[in-house]
Amino acid sequence: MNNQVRALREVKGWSQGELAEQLAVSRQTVNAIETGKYDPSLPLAFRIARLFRKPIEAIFNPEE
Amino acid sequence: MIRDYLCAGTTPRYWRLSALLMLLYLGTIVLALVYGPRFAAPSARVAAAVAPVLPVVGFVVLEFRRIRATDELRQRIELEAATSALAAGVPLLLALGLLDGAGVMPVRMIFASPLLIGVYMLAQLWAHRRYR
Repeated sequence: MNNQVRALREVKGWSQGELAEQLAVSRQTVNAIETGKYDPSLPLAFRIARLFRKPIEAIFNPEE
Repeated sequence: MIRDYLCAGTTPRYWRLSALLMLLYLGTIVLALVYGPRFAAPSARVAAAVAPVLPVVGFVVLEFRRIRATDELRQRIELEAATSALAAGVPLLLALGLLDGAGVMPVRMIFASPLLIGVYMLAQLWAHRRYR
C-alpha cells in the first residue's frame, strides 16, 4: 500500500520519533509504515488520519 | 538496534521481576540437582526435580505481558518470530529425537528447551531486521 505519511510528517516538521510519540507507537513502526514495509491496522490508520486532519483515503492508497 | 530489540515493551518492573525469577530459577536448579536426589521421600524428589519449571512458567507469563504491552508492529514481529521458530525448531528437535532413537547420537531432553529458546531468539532478530 502506498502512503503519504512521510510527506505529511515532513510538512509538519516532525521527526519520526515525534510522530511515533503522538501515535503511541515505536519509531520503528513509523519507519516501517513510511517505507511501505508494514501496513498499519485500521485503528492506527484512523489515528494517523485524525492527527493529520485528512480523510484516510487521502493518506493511504491501495496499489493497483 | 539490539537495544530496541531487547527493550521493547519492558519497564523497570519487568526487569525487577526478571531478576527475581532468575534468582528463583537458579535456586530451584540447585534444589533439583544438588539436594533433590538426597530426599528420602519419592514425592519430595519429584517436587524438587520439577521445581525449576515454576519460575520458567513465571518467565512465560512475564514475556506474554511484555508482548501485549508493545505496539502492533512489535506484536507482528513476535508472531513471525514464534512461527519461524516453531517451523525451524520442530524439525530440528524431531531430527535429534530420531538420531537418538536410531542410536546414532545420544540426545538429552534437558537441552530441548534451551535449543528452542535459542532458535526463537534468532528468529526474533531476523524478524526485527525485516522491519528495520
